[in-house]
Amino acid sequence: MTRSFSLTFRIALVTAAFVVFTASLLFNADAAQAWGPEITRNPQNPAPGTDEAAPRFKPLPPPALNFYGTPGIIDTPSAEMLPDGTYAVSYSWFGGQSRYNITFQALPWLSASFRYNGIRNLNLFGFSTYYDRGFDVRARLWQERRWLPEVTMGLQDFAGTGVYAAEYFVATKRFQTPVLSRRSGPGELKSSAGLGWGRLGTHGAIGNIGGVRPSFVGGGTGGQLSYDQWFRGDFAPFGGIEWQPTDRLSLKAEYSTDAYITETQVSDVFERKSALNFGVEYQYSDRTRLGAYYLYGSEIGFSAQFQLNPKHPLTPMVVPAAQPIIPRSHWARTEADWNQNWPASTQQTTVFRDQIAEALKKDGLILEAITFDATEVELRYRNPRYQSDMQAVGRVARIMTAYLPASVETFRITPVRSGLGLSTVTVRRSDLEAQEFAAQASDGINAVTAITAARPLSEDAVFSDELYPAFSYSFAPYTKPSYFDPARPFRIDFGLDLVASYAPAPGWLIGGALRQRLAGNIANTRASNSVLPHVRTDISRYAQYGTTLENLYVTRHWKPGRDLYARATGGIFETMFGGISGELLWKPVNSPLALGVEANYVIQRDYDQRFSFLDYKTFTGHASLYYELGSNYQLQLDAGRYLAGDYGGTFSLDRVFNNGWAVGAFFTLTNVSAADFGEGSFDKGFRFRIPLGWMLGKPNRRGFGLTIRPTQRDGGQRVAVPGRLYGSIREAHRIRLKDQRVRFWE
Amino acid sequence: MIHPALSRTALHLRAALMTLLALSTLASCTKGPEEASGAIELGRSIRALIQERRAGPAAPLQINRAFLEQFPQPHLEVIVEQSDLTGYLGLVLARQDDLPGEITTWSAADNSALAFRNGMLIATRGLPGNLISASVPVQEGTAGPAHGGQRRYYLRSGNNQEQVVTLACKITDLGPQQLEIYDRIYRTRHLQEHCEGRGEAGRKTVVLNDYWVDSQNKKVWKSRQWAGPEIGYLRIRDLSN
Repeated sequence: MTRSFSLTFRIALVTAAFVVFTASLLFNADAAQAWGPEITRNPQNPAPGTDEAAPRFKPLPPPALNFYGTPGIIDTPSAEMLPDGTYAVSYSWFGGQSRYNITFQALPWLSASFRYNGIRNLNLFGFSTYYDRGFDVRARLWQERRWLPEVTMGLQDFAGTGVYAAEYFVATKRFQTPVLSRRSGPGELKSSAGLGWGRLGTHGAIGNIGGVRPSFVGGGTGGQLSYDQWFRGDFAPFGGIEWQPTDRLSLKAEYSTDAYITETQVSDVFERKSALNFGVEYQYSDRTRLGAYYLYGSEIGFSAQFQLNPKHPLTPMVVPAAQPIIPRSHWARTEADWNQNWPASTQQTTVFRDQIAEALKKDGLILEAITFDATEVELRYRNPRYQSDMQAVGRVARIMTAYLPASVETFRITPVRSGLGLSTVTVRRSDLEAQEFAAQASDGINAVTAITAARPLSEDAVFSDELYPAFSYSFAPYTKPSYFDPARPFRIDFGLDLVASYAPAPGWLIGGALRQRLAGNIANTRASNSVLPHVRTDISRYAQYGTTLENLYVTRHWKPGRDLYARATGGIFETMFGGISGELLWKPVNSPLALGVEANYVIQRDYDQRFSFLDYKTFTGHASLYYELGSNYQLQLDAGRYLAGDYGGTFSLDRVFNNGWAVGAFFTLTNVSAADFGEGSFDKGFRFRIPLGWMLGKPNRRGFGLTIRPTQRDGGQRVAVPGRLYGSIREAHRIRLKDQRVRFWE
Repeated sequence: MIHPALSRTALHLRAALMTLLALSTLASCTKGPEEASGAIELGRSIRALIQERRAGPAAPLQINRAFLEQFPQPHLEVIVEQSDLTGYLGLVLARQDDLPGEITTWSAADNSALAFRNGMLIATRGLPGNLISASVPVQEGTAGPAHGGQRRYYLRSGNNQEQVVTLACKITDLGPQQLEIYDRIYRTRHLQEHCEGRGEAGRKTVVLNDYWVDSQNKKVWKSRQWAGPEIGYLRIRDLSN
C-alpha cells in the first residue's frame, strides 16, 4: 500500500516538475538569458550586415540521440543520420541500467556504435550486475524528399552475446511547426515509425518471420556475427515523435516495443507497466544535450549527450602570421644583387645557413641541412610543431625568400623525419612572388608546385651545427587505462615518465624511458585464464611494480633505395617485450599504395620490467598493404604470425581527417579457435585520436588517442615497436600535402 | 542512482584526470630537439592560459593626432566587432602583382596581419579561420570596389580544407559624407557593397561591406568589411597622416 502511494506520489511530483520546467523553458525562450552558452541557430530574417545574416560554416546542433547513443527518440531509433564525421559520446540511465555509447558517423549514410552497458541486479549468468559490450551499425536507405521520409536500416548489438540484439527499419519525416519564439523561428516536429525484430519485436508483435528466435543467454564467448538471427522471429511496429518548439528544447514521446523480457520477466530489474515513454531534452550548447525521461510507466531516466564534430575544432586554430614575401623587384635592382658567385664563399653560405636556421627556429622548425647553388637551394628541415606538413613547407618557402640572394630561383624543400628525407617539394621563387595575393592563392601555388621523391642528401650539403649529436629528455605524466574487467569496468594507472633520447648521427636514435607509477588499480585486475601463451593478458602481474624501465632501444632509419625506407631496432621495445626488429617499406611519394614487411624476434620481459626476461621467445612478423582509399580513408591489411605463435591477418580501416583527428576500427582473425581465444572469439577493437591542436587552437603535432578492445586476449596480438615507418612517412607524401594545400600560405 | 561501481569509476576517473592535469601543469619539462609529448604541450598551454588570466586585458591606448604624428609609418585601426577588440597595424609592404590594384600588407604586434587590394580586404593571417585569399571587384586607379558582380572568399576551414564563399554583389553610392578620424576631416563618398549568396541548406546569406572612399586621394579612409564566418566583421580606419 505504502509502495503504491509513494509511487503515485512520485509520478505526480515528477509530472508537476516536468510541466513547470517545460513551461518555464517555453515562455523564457525569448529571454536573452538562456541557460548555457550560445548555440548555433538559423535566425528569422536577420538584418543584413550582421553576423547572423552572413555565411556560416558552423553546423546547427546535431540530431538528438536515444538511450542507445544513435539518433532516435528515447528507447527507440529514428532514421536520422548525424553530420558526417560526428563522434558522439553519450550516457543514459534508467531503472538500474546504464549505457555508455560511442557513435561514429563514418560516412554520410553509415554509422557505427560501440556500447558498454551495466544492468544492476540482473542476478543472472553468475553476475549480480551484468556488464556487456555491443556494436551497432546503421545505414540510411534513402534521404528525406518532398513526400518521402528518410529511411534507415539498423542492426543493434549485432555481434557477440547480443543482450540488446534488435534489427529495424525506421522512417522519419520532419514538419515545420508554428513560430513560438521570434528568436528561434519556427519549430520542428519529427515523426518516426518503424518495424522492429529481436528486442524491438517483443511487445505488440504483428507477425513473424522464420519462427522462434532463441532467447538471450549471457555469459557465452560471443564475438560471432549472429546473422542467422537477423530479421528473424516476431516483428512489431514502434514509433514516436520529437517536437522542438524552440531551438534549445525538445519534447519526446514514443511507443516502445521492447518488452524487456530478460530484465522484467526472467529477472526483476524494474517493472514495465506501459509501452509509452516521455522525455524532455535541453540543448545546453552546440555539443552538449541533456535529457530527463519517464519510461515504461514506472522509471525515471536521464541522458547526457556530447557530440564532437572533428571538422569543427573546440578552439579555432590560430597561427602567428608569417612575414609577407618581398618580391625581388623591390630590392634587387642592381647587377650586383643578382651576382652568382656567392656559393663559392663558405663565409657567405655559413651566414645564410645561420640566418635561415634562426628564422626557422622562430617558426618552431629545425634546419637539418642545406645545399647551396647559385640558382637552386635545397633545404632539409624537421617539423616538430605543425600538424600540417604543407603549412611547414609554406613557412620554409617564405623564410627562403627572405634570406636567400636574388639569384636563387628554385627552392627544393625536403621534410625530414628520423633522418629520412620524406619528399621534396619544388617551387619557383617567382611563383611565390606572383601567387601570394592571387585570387585563388592556394590552388595557384599548388598547380605550379612539384612533389617528388626526396632527393638523396647532396655531398656538399652544409649541416646544421647544433643537431648531431643531440640529447633530448622530457619529464612528463603518463596514463595507462584498462577496460572492461567485470569487477570494475574501468581501471587506470598513472604516474611520471622520464624519457630520454640521444641522436648521434642522422637516422640513429638511442631511446629510453623510466616510469614511476604514482597510483592506480590495474594491479587488481583479474588473473589471466587464457590457454594461449600469456602474451598480453598478464597485465595485473606486470602492474605490480612501481618503478619500471618502459623501454630502452637503439634504432636506425635509412633509405636503402628509391621509394624504400628501412628500420632496424634492438633492445627493450615495450612493457612486455624486447628483442630485435627489422622493417622495410616501399612507398612511392605519389602513390596511394604502400607495401611493407616486418620481422621481429622477441622475448617476453620479466614482470618487474627491468633487464631480465621470461622463457617465452617467439618470432613474429607481418607483410602489410596500406592503401589510401580517398576521402581521408586508409586501409591496412596485415598477414603473418602473431605474438602467441598464431597465424592470420588483420583488417584495419581508419578515417584520418586533415586536421589530425582519426577514428578507426580493426579485427584480426587467426588460426586460434574461438574456444581457445576465449571471451570475444577473436581480436577486435576501435581507436581514435584527438589532436591537441584541435583542442587548444595552437599548432601542435601531438594528440591524445586510445585503442579500445572489448576484451583483451592473447590471440592476434602484435608487439609495439617504437618508430614504425608508415604513419610518419605518408604525412609528408603527395596525397596528404595536396589535401592540405590551403595551409601553404598560412 | 548510478551503479556504485560505475560512480566509483567516474570518481576515480575524475581524480585521475585532475591529478594528471595538475602534474602536466607543474611537473612537466623538456629539453632538446625531439618533439615534446602531449602532456607537456597541454601543461604549457595551461600555464600560458593562467598567465594570460593573471595579466588581465591590456590597458586601452590613448590615441590622438599628436601621438599618431610621431609614427612615420602609416597605421590602421582595426576593431573586431565580434570580440570588440581593437588592434593597431603598421604598414609592412605595398606592392603590385599581375592583377590590377595596389596590395598593402599590415601587421600588428601580436603577429596578426591583414592584406588589402585597393582598400578591399583580400587576406587575414594570425586570426581564427583565416581568409586565405579573395577575388575582389578591383580596377586600376579606383579605390574601393569598382563594380558589382561576383565576389569570392577562399577560407581555411576547421578541417584544413579550403571553403569557398561565392557571392553576387551590387554597389550603391550612398552619397558624400564628411568623415572625421582623430581631428582630421576627410570628404568621402560612402559606397555600400551588398552581396548575396546561398549557404547551407539553401539559406540566403547576406554580406554588407561599407567603404568611405576619398576619390581625389584614391584612398579608402574607413571601411567595415566581412572577413569570414570565424572573424566576422572588421571596422577599419586609416590613421595615416
